[in-house]
Amino acid sequence: MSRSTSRGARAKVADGLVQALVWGTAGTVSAVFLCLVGDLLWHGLAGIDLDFLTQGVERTGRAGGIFPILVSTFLILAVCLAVSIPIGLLTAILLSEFSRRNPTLSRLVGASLDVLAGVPSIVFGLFGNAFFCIALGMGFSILSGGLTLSCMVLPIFIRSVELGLRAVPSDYRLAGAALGMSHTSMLLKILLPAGAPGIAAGLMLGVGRALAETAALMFTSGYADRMPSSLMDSGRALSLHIYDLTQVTGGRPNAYASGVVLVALLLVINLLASWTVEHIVGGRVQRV
Amino acid sequence: MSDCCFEACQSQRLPDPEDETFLAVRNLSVHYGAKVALESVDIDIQRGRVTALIGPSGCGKTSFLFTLNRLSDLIPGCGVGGRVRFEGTEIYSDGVDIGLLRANIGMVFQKPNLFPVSIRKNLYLPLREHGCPVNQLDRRSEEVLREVGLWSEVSDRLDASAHSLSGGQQQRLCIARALTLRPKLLLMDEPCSSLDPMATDVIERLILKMRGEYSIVIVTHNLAQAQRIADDVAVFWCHDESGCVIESGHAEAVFRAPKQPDTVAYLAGQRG
Ligand SMILES: Nc1ncnc2c1ncn2[C@@H]1O[C@H](COP(=O)(O)OP(=O)(O)O)[C@@H](O)[C@H]1O
Ligand SMILES: [Mg+2]
Repeated sequence: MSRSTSRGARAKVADGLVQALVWGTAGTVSAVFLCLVGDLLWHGLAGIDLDFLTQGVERTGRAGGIFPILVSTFLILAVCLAVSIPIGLLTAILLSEFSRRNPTLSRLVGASLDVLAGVPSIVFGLFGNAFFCIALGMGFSILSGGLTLSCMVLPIFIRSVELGLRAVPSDYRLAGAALGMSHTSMLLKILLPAGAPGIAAGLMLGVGRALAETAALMFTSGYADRMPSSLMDSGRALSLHIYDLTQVTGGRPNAYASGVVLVALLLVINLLASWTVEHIVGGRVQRV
Repeated sequence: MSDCCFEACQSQRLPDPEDETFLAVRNLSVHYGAKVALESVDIDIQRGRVTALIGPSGCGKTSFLFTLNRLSDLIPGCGVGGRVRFEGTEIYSDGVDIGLLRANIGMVFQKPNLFPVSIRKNLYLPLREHGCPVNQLDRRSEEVLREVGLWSEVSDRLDASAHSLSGGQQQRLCIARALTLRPKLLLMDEPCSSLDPMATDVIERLILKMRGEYSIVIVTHNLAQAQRIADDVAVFWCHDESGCVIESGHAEAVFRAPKQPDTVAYLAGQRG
């Protein structure tokens, strides 16, 4: 009897320790995050008003607003997504669906993607500069920047969509095939909708990485802080703007304000992306 | 080895199929990579009857069903030899329309495998795939739901998720989904093995009701069930790790006077 009580007591102590550890870790992580956001808001919120969002850049960013920067950022992101989403979806489908017959190919492509996903962005910047700006003659332009970003985003996007598709139970495939459904209609009507969470996650990871990127854009879309007149024009992305502001004296207040805008933007785009994918693509399936 | 198994199997050889035979299987074999799962199966399946496939696990009953609608095409490494002739068409010849074949030969699986969409959409999907006009969808859906006795249970919640149904209801909806295409032959792979006795009873009665209108091949581990519902029986057995059919014929005859010693033992519940 006494033996079992002492064992019970020991178990209780161990439980308490584990619990303290878990809560401690979770608390630390949350605290760091709160400090970061708090610092950003504390220094940045004051600088944000309508003028800041709608005016042009003055004195290389120390004064004026960030409107042209926002426009460039959106254009770069748009180019990046317009290229990444179709190519990414098709590649992921190929990897998860059609490669069953050719596992070697899919393993090879998968391994290459994993390596690419780990390559530092500065390397993508150099590649983008050499390939898009110089070899293809696009120069420092929003197009070059967007295309370079999509090279960077694609590996992550493809991998997470592929995982999402692979997670769809193979029961559905057999069920569909037994009903004489073609591969394509299975894909469009069952597998893609059921894999929607994976697509959403991939999209958000991709957008997050694209918006946060500075190094890859430095050599491709350039620094010009005026309003871009076309996709072939150079344009400065928001994160690059922040980086630049930290390098000039007196640039800090606006760097912080831009930082707040960037974080807010990320949040809004993430919500939008997940809502869109859940309702448009996933709207056809019901998860229980 | 194949010779030895052939002898061990003592499976009966049938003559070449006649044209009016509903479904004729000749010298069928299935292998997964190097592993032979099923060997030299000869069997005729009759129109409008319920044929039960019985025998221990791992003797290739599921593999056999998968060859009949060419679902085996989807299993990596799975190879099929021999002939399957369905209503006069060799289904393993070139130029067979597999979509049409699978519309004619429906299948119900061991576990209900409804799509993660509404009850209604589960029935619409195969109908739309096979070109059912939009204004016929509702009528046809109601028809099959009535056939499987689900209409009164789900008519007021057709847009609810199919996965919200009970296990027995899900399995009946799977049957209804297969029936949307008016198949001539329905393959059922242990359709009751995941169900409770009540739900099993409902499905058994449904099978008895469908007999005649549909031809049914059903795999079951439940010998009492086979006796209750089957017109014909085929006994699968394993020899040297590969499966074969050791005995087949009228259910009554096989159950009353089995010819093979293995069948006798199996029916007596001593082996397998
Ligand atoms: N996809 C597969 N890959 C490899 N072997 C398989 C596969 N499916 C079945 N088998 C093998 O084939 C044999 C017959 O299996 P199965 O047809 O499922 O038997 P049953 O339905 O009678 O239990 C078993 O030995 C099983 O291990
Ligand atoms: Mg089986």
